[in-house]
Amino acid sequence: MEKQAALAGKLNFIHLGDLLQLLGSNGSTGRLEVTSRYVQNAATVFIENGNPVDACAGELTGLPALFALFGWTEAAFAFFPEFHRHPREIQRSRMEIILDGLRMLDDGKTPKVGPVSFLKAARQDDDKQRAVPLIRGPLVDYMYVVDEENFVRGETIALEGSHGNWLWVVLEGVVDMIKDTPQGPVTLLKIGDGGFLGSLESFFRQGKSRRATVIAASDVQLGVLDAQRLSNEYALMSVNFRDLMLSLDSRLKKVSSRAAAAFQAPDEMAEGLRDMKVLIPQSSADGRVFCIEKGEALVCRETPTGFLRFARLGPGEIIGCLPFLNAGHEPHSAGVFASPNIELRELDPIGLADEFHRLSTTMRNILNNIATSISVTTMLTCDWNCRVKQEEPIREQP
Amino acid sequence: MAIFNLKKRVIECKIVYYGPGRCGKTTNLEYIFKAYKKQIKGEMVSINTEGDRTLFFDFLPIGLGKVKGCDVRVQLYTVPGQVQYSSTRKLVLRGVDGVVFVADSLKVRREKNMESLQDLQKNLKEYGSSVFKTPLVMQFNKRDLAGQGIPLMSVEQMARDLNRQLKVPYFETSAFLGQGVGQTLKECMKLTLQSLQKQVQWAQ
Repeated sequence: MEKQAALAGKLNFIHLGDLLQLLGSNGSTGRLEVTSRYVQNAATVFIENGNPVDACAGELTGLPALFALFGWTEAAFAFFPEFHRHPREIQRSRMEIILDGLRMLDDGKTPKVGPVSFLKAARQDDDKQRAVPLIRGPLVDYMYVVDEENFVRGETIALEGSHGNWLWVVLEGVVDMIKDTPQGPVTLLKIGDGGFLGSLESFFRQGKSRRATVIAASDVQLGVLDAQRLSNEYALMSVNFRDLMLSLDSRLKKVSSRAAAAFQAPDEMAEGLRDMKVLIPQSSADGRVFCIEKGEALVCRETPTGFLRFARLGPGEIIGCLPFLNAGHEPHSAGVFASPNIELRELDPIGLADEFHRLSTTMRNILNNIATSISVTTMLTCDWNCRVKQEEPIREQP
Repeated sequence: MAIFNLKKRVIECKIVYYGPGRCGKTTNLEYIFKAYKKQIKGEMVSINTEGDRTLFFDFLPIGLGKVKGCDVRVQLYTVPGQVQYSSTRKLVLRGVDGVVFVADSLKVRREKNMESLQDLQKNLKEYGSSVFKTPLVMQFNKRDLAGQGIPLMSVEQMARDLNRQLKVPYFETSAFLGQGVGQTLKECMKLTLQSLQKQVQWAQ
């Protein structure tokens, strides 16, 4: 940056609407730069006496550009107070822009730019419109891409249960992650630009089977990741960190199976929790991390309708607070129950965090992608579970 | 909490009209905008949201005095009731200083009123406030429809339904005819300013 910013921060802390109000009530004049790691170029809003006069974001300019910015929830901003005589492209008042921008965001007219966004699924039945989350990743590091593959819309990229050990990154387009259920296939997630496909397990242990079917939802270009390079990096990690990676991967697998099960029938909770004791209570501030040595642990969320279980974990798997990865599980949004014979080994959370920050960007992105997928799949499980439960009494009525 | 705009030496506070869909929030604000033209600064912003409209404008209360030597400017909002408009609701309700709850007097709307009040309580809690601490005034709207033979709830019944615990001032109004609209707003501003004065004293 050529000049020091007068005000800078993150838009997930202070929303664009609030920021524009703040600059507005201050009567500021200058240039607001917004950068997101999910978008190639920075966006700029020109502000004169507290009112936005022009904006540009990618190919958009003026008001459409400013509206598009309301979707940039995962972004950083910096305000540079400087005077430009800028042509007034935007005529509408500040408050009108803010309220209309938020409305368009809520109406789904403005796409969200971030790791997860929601695409409205094609209308199957009239009001049961289901939003399928779209997971994206940051910009791809081409150093790790050894080959590019193209798939046309509708083509199957990988089949659930088949063997394969490629790890892909989506360079362009969207793919559907589909799981088979007795009621037919169900789309769990959509993966877009920058998202990763394939399991870490299939990559480090040969010949593992695919956990979901992947179908191209649009014309897709995938990048095959450099296996050699990633396994070299993996080999240099500490044993604990390697366990953590495989444990995350296995948790995603378990959470996906639970989601597919929840799609068909609500969870029967009473059985699973009998004889189990609370290990990490939900929303506790416990910052410890453990590796399970012996016994079993169950990750559950307490919901108004009872406990909902997400994953049953066994020896070798990691539980606890990992603040650098937002998987939406314990300790904040889920609790852990353990079998009476549980034996745990405590790990050093600071060491793990240090190691995470030393990873290559691609490896870090892969882990972030897994964590986001866990969190989103968990959310779907909760939604489906509630929906099935709510629908049931209605069916019984004459 | 109101914004103290140090540059202009003005205190900006927020009053939100809340209530079930089609209860007359928008009619209230439209009447105020027309009837108190002199005290209004700038244009009325009107955003069409599904099934409802979101309105906003700035209002300069006259004769209500100053807080710590600063003029007071009131921003009046309505908020869309539908669940999907969470971003708008968050912007509007965060830091709200006063609420006018507009209840629909039609008999068939009884449950909708109660649901909406519950909803207000839930939302305020979510944004770090409480329905018991926020200055609140109630309005039993559409009283004029009694003359047209449409079944309305009695004022006593509405007060029992909605105001038993809250015990806030309430007014019988007809936003359509403008009856009671000014009184409601004035009372809400009075309570809001009193609460602001109190907050300023505590801060010292």
